[in-house]
Amino acid sequence: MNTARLQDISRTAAGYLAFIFYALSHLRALSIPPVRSVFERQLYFTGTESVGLVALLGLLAGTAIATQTTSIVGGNSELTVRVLVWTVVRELGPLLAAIIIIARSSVAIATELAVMEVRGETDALKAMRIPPMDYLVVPRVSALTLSAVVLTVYFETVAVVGGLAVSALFQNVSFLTQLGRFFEVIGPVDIALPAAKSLCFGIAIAAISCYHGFAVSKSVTAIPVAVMHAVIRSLIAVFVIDALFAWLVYISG
Amino acid sequence: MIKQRILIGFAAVLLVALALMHWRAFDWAERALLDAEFRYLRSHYSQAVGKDIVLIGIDEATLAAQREPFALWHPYLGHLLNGLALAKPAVVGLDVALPARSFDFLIPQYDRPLLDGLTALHKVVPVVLAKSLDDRGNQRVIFPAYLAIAGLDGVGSVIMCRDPDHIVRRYDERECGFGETETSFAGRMAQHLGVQKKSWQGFINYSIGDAITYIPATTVFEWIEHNNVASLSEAFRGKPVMLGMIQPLTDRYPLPVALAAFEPNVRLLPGVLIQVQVLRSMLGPGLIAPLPAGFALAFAAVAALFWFGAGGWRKALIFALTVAALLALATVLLLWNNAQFPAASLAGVSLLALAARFAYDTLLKSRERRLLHEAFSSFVSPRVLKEILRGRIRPGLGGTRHRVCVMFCNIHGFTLRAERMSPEAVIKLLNDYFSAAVSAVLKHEGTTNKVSGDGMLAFFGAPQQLANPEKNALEASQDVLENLARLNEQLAARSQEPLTVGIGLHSGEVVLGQVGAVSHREYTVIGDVVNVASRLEQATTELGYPVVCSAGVADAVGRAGGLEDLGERTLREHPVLHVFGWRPRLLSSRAP
Repeated sequence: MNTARLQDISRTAAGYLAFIFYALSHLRALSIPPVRSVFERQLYFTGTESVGLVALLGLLAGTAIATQTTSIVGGNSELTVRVLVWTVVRELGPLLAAIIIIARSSVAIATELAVMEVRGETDALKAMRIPPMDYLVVPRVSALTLSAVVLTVYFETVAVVGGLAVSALFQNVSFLTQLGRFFEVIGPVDIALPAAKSLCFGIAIAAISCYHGFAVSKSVTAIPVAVMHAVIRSLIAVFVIDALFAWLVYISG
Repeated sequence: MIKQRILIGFAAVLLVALALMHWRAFDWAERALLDAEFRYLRSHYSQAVGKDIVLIGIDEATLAAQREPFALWHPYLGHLLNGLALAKPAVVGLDVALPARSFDFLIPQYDRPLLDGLTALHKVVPVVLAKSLDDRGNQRVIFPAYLAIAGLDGVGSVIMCRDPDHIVRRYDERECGFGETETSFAGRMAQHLGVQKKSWQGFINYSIGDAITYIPATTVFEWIEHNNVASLSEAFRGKPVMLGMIQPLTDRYPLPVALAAFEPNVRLLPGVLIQVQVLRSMLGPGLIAPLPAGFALAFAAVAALFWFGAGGWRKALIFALTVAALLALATVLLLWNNAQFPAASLAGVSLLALAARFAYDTLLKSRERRLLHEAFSSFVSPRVLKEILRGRIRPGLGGTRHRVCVMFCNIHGFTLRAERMSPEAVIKLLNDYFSAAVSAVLKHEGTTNKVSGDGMLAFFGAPQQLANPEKNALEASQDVLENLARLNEQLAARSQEPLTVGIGLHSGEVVLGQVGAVSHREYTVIGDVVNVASRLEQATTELGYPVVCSAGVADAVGRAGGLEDLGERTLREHPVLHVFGWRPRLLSSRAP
């Protein structure tokens, strides 16, 4: 890896951080009606519209893990529930929710912003003294982050409840007993950790998507490249953050 | 000749005046006058306007209530226009910068409310949109959809002509709009109200109407929100309505008068107030028409007549009265005829003519002083010269009668002596002698009049009056002899013969004046007195006195001071004369 490439990467990373910092420090902009309107639209698109998809994937993942574990360790075991917490709640929930968001919204945001940039619409905003960061980035980052957290919680609930229910239905296990065990096993860390992770995922995906959307040169051919960059970099960022969290959990005992 | 020069001067003044009028050199004064007239009429003769314009102001409070920039005010503007449609005004002018483009890219359907509002309003009343310039001076773009709704007769320019002092007074659709065929914003509104003109030109009449008030947009929003149709109708129904920005810093123009009721005594006011005043002028008496150039030039020619007539307080008074009359006339014409009379220019021309004449007179006077100076500088003492130049002593160049004491002074036997000397030495000796004699005469306020050969003619009592010219003359004689004694000492030191002089004095009336050709004139004394004095001088050798004077002279000093009565003597070519001889006592040791 030569120095130019390294410089490029560090510059891009600094750009992401700048976007994140700007968005977090300008959350007040959400009180401006048009900004809120953009925020609501993004929330609807990223959150509400993907509820079905998240539910389906959650149910399937939960079912697969619950039934397979049950078939290995037997129905009346705490281990099934523990495996569910370790895999679905701690890892799979935030990760799958993030991947769904990348697939849907990262692509959408990067494309939308890139098209605006190419058409000179962001310049028009600047000319009218409307700050594009306030009106385009802040609502998207906040909506995506909120959606990521909510979707993660939703995914986990569906996966755990759905997985246990299907397992109970087909493997002669008591659904309520297992659910009771689940609530005994699950601790505050198991709730805080995925919440924190999904929060970071949401922020990272949104900032990266916006950054690449804005970073296009004024040419139509630059749009697909920008979208691709947004998707790939978001994925990389999600897994890097996930690894970081794993390492944090490991060193903290 | 003088008359001819005065006429040439008048022609020059007239030419300069017309040139100044033509190049609008007095425009600054004209503007200041117009402003003063507006202010005066506003404070003393308030003129109401029939159908006044209702102004809705988007002020600081309105802007602060909404967090998005004005460019994203589509929902609020739409709301406002819908509300106005309920109230049914006569015409609505929007002097605001409508969005330059669609904002659908930001939020889908964001343009909708404004489009709907405009459509709803346009169905009920004519709407006029403002075409303006942006910060860089380029024409501000309006999103074509809004223009399409307003229609071809629903757009007008709000660009205004600024005078060199940046104040907006003139209004000229052709000169200051976007093009010759462009109708102005106010012109369009007036057109929709049934007042039409091919092209509006003239001055905005700032003297009509009350101070402008506005209804804050927030108030209108409240009425609309509470569906308060009664208040809306009361405020707007059947009236021309203008919407504009009332901001503290941006889009402000200097005005000649304090036009805003909400900011009394402030003359830097929002541009929309000018539009209101323009529309008031159009709907009322019309724009103020300037006096046609031909009339103005004719008046200027009359004003240039101030060239004629000698200066003085009477002329100054006439000038002051004329200026006052011009100002009054201008104000009255503005009030009654809605016309602008160039009083300031005419006052300027009058002043120019007055000043030119004053300068001409002063020039003549200074020339006269120079002539006087040339005529007298070597004859009279510097003090007397100063008095003459100041005009306190009038030498009477044209010829005046004076009572003077004439002194005639001559060197005895000079001709013989000169023949034995070199010419240079003769001149040197004469110069020494005359400077001694002349200084003595000047010292006693006498006037040396002529020096010819070895003789000198001086007189006392003219041009400046003396209490006792004879006394001065006698004292001067004494000094002449005194100075001569000193000169003789020097001559003795060079072992030359001393000089002896004779002085004749006689007093009486003479005529004094400038005599000669135009190119060479001399201040000359004419009269028998001079001849008598000359004869008395000639008699000094025979009588053996250095100073011989007539009885008149001796009587004037009371025959005192050692004057010796020599009795009646017969002089050449003259009747018998009673003469006195005088050998003045000299301070120096040696007698002449």
